[in-house]
Amino acid sequence: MLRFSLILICIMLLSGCWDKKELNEVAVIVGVGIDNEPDGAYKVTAQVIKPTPGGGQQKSSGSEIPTWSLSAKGDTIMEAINNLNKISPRQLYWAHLQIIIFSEATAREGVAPLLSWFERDKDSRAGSYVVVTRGSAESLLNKKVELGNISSKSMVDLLDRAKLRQITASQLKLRVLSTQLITPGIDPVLDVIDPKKIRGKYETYQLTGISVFKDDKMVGFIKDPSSVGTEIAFGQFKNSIIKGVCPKSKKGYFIFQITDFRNKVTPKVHQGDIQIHMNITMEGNLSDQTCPVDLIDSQNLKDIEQQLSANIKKYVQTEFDQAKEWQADIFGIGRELKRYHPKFWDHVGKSKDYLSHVSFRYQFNVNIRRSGLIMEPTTVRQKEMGEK
Amino acid sequence: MVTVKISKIQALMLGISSVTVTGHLFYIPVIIYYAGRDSWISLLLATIPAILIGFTISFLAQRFKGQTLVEYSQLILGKWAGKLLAIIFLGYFFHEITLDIRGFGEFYTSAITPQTPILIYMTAIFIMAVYAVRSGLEVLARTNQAFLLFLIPIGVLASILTQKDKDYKNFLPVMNNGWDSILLGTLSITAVYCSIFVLSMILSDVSSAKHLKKYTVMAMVIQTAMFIGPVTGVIAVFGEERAVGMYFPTFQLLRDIEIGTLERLDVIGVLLWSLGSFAKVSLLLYALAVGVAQLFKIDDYTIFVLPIAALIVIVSFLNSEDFIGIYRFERDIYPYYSTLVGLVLPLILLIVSLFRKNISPIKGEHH
Repeated sequence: MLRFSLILICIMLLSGCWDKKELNEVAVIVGVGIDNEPDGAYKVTAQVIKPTPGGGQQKSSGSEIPTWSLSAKGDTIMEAINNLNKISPRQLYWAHLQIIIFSEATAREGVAPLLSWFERDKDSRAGSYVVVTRGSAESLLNKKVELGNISSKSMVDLLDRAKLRQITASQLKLRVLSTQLITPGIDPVLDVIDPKKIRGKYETYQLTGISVFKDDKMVGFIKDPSSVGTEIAFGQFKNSIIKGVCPKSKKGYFIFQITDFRNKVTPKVHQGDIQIHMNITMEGNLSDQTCPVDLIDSQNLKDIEQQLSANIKKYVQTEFDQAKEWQADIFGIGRELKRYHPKFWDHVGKSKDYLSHVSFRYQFNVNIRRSGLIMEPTTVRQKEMGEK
Repeated sequence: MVTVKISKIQALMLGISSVTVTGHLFYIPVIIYYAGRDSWISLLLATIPAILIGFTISFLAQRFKGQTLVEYSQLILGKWAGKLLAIIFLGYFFHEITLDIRGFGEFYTSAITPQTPILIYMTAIFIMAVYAVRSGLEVLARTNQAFLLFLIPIGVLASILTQKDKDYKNFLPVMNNGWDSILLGTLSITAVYCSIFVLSMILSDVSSAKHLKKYTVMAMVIQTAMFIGPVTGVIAVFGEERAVGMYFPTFQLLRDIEIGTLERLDVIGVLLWSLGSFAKVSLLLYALAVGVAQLFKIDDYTIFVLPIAALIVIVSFLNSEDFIGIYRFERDIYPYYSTLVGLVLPLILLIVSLFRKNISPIKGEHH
């Protein structure tokens, strides 16, 4: 009897639970955009993947976009999402969220109040990218892109494969953002994605540098190429390229492609002055040049190394100076100070004034490993043949 | 009562899985709350009380072979004081299990299935636990042995998979907050370890008590080692500031694993904690039922299993209205309370038993 009743109870409990979600009853959200309204409310735009009719084996007809986005307003994110659920034919499902887009105006107002729901909700993912866009997030999500049907997915792809594409992106995810917001001495830097016009029509997306935050409020944009300073400071500059002017000829350019990049940052404090020592180890290939000079020559290599280090110094300094103007500690100098000089940090950490006492010291170790598949550029050969 | 014997290792495995798993799920926030980024120092220091706990349990078990806590506390302190102490211990086990079962249910309702009533999970785990406990200690020991073989590799795997997100610079500066916070952290870890004192209810059924001290102390050291991963991992990934405000930091750690297409491994955590909670609930339930039976000198403990289980579910709701209340209790009171009952009282018992050389095996004196 006991065994029978046990089995009965097990069957009752195993038959399912209250929280079951069937795939054909949910709307899978891949991207979400957050704009603010003039009346202080937020507008949340969720991009949903359309279920393909009839089993999904159909070829997309081209003109029809396989996504749909819906917007709703609310004073908090949760209220807006609740309003979204009121108008959505299917229950919204957040577990596949991949990107959160803030409009510039929202970001300038402060993003911390907007993150609470994303952090508390059990379904939303801390691995979603967080980006800022000039203009409205809703229109960014609703742009039709070529070569990629789902616009959020294309944006995620842009960030995901930044390393493979050899472009730099700070690739900040929700988890890192919330950690950086709560950690004293570091201000977040978010990627900026804007729609890009090609032949007068919006057809694709573009990474246009970074947006700098002071605490949780955006304070300004930094454009390429000086936006790479943060990547250099955090040692994530691998797979990017640096352009330099050719030695001797001073006319053409060369491109150095980084294959390995490490940066050991140590803060030192000297009578109130903060020295940030960057010990940079860089390896890479000479991948392109426009000047007819043999760059692999040992004398030229030295020049190239100097140029590379000068460029890196310039990137770091420009970005830092710009952020300093906005009182934003984007390199996490305060965090490093807190780690290595906690007493000093207790002293200066109250305000961002310590930024004006920061200076950088560099030590470079540049290795040029390869020059692609050819040793000398074609131009050099032609010239030598001509002289004979 | 049929005497079933289990091996030393089986008994210690029961202890390890019951303490570590619930500790990983609920007490990591408390430890981090007190010790912050210096939690690892607290953890290292906690090996000393851990060894002390292990030593106390095994010493008492060896000195009073074949007797449980309830029996030998009456021998040591006399009938009435001993009974009182036994009731205190049983009350401690009872309270412990109510906290754990509530935490287990709250974990499900806040992190996985918010719509499902919390009672469902509690009932489900108790149906299993009651069934296992009624089947006897050997069943418990063997089930747990089978579970633990999966649990440890899963835990190690989780630790390895989160490696790429870890930044060990988060532990700097070391010891900036002074010894106070580190020692409070040690105290809270000790409090978690103290619940392993429940082993003194089952070590009486161990087939051979030879080298029991060595084995138990080893088990405690292993247990400490098993805490290294979760405690350091959480701080290395989230940083001290972020980690403090999370209910289930270890779960969130697993949830955020992203290795290529390998994502959302929270189900690993659910598996880990469900099996671990089952181990702890069934072990404590067994100890309680046997303890109550011995207290009232009743041969068959199985009749107590179901009523106690039902009572536990009810009391687990009476503990606190909300989960925040449970967390606050675990943070503010539990470290002192659990250390007092799980470490200080057994030590007193041990010391008294050393002074009272001629303890009569059948009836003790009231003193």
